Amino acid sequence: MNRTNVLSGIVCFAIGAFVFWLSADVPSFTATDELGGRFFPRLISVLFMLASLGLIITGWMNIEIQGGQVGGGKGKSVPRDEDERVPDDEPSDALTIGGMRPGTLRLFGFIAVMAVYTMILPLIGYIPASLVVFAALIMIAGEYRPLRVMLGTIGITAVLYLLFAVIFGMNVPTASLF
Amino acid sequence: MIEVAAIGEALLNVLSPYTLFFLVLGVFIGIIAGILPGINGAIGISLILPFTFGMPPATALIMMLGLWGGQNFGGGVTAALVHAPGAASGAATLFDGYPMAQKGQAGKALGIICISSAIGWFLSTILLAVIALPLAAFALRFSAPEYFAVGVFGLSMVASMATKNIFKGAIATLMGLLIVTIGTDPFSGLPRFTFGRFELMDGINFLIVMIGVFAIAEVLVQAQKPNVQAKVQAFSRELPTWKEVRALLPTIFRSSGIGMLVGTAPGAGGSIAAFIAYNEAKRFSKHPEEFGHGSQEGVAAPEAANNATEGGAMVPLLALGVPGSGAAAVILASMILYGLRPGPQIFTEQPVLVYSLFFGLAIGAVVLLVLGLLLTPYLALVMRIPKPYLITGVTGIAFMAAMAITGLLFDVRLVLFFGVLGYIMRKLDFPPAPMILALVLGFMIETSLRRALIMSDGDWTVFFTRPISAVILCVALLSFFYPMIREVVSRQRAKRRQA
Repeated sequence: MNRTNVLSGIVCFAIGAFVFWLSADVPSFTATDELGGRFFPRLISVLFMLASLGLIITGWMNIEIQGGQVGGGKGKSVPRDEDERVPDDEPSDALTIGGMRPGTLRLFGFIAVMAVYTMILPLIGYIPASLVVFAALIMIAGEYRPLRVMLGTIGITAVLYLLFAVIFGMNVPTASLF
Repeated sequence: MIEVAAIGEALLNVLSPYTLFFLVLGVFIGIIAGILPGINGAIGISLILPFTFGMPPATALIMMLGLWGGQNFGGGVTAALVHAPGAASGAATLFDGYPMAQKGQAGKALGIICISSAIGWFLSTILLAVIALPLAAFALRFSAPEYFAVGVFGLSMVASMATKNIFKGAIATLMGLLIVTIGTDPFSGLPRFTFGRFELMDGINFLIVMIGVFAIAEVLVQAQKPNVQAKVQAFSRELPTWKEVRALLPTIFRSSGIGMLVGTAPGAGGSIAAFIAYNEAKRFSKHPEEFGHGSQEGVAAPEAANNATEGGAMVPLLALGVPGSGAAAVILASMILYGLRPGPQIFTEQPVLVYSLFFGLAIGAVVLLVLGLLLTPYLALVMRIPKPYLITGVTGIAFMAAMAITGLLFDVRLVLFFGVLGYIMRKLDFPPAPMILALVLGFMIETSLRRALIMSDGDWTVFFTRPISAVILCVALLSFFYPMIREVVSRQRAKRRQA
């Protein structure tokens, strides 16, 4: 059994069922259109659940039906965009913190810092928020030398601000706190 | 249908210093984007798109097409110098590009990549001009059922072809179609799945989704990987001689043909064309034993093919309004944002724009040739940008691009949401490209389907009683179910053999 496929199929099926249920609130009939706004989401959510069922069943049977890749040949997959040679994470015996491997920590660190960025942008404005957030991202990504972190942060913030806010005249968030 | 005045106006438009400047800038950004691992054409175009809003549509689109072509070349540069493709389209180039660089012929390898890419790109533009016009004239007969069929055909090809699991391709496609239903119902004007939020009344902007699932997801993938700086091969300035280039021309022409044909099929991108061209070059070669050990033909073939897919992919995009790849989907999205209606009518409504794109593509190939050969000695420097600064910079640009689209902080948060979704999809092998194509085509599919059913009083046979839509839908169904049929047949054969 391919557990990943079965579990992701179950999650997708649940999403499809949820959308189907949610679409009950959308009118099914209007004066201009007999089908109504409910028709298309319902049709797609049913197909979504059928595709999810297909994934669950083939995952359960441990079958992976590949797409008809032109020239790729059976069993050969199209190469992924990323560099396949760099491992996804440090070796399993690498230092772990709280049971999490360094790569996973960096990943969660990035997501958390980006989430903070979207929250502090309207509070402290583009430049201060970017200075704080970019410094944190550079450090999480593996650069710890203070001078380089500082120069990198200022450089990226300055280039983006000059290019987009000054040259392209884009409105960037301003501080509402002060 | 060919209008001489429009051709003249288009040529003047493309040759204006303003358009030429942005074309050169587009090719330059594309080369840099292609060299940087993980930044593909779709990401590059999504990130620059919000900053082209003030430009005339033709200039902005030409810049994007330049970026796309430059990115295909840049991917090959990384493949040759660090044994890792900067973009998927360069994957086949590393088989012989890297051995050439190891032999101290990096300059020659990059020269061949540049020349092959430029020729492939140029030839595909000619094909585009030759095929797109009659195809568009034919497609003018289409009405709602045919448009629905074409939309389904585009999605089925993409969902079924470049995926490791067709059910995952289908789920990704349908997820895109579900996202399209968020916002105001196009027929009744009533809100759908907006949860009372005014930000969702206009639906979710596909650019926001694109930036999330392409750029932010890539940042997260790169952030998870250890901070390892790529080892770049020592560079030699020696370029290929005219004799060497002349000997490669048959391979380049053949591979360009392959690239053009593969590019016209929705879902079959540059990487697929590159691998086919590489195999064919080996089959036709007088020295197949050199392949994998630094064969010049092995470098020229995939590069000519992957660049030739660009013109090929523009054929269904311009003539039918169906994008053939992720990058083409972003171009299509851009055209919609500029108020254009991609599809056969664009040839009659905006002939100057269409011809400008043809000329822009052709001149872009020449720009790539000049810029690529001039920059060759310096391209290796780009690969030395340390990853922490690179991914932080991309994050900054992605959020800035999101802010530029609507100016709503809600959309900036959505970018992060779709970034995490894109990351999960990539880790679970759900392809993001079909979702994006569904987002772009979703509106056309829903409105055509509903319009056709209203026209026929709810009779579903309307799609099969009209010959064009029937043929297109049958091909779509066949392309989607073919992998399943193939799997069943091969299993039965294996069982018989065992018995």
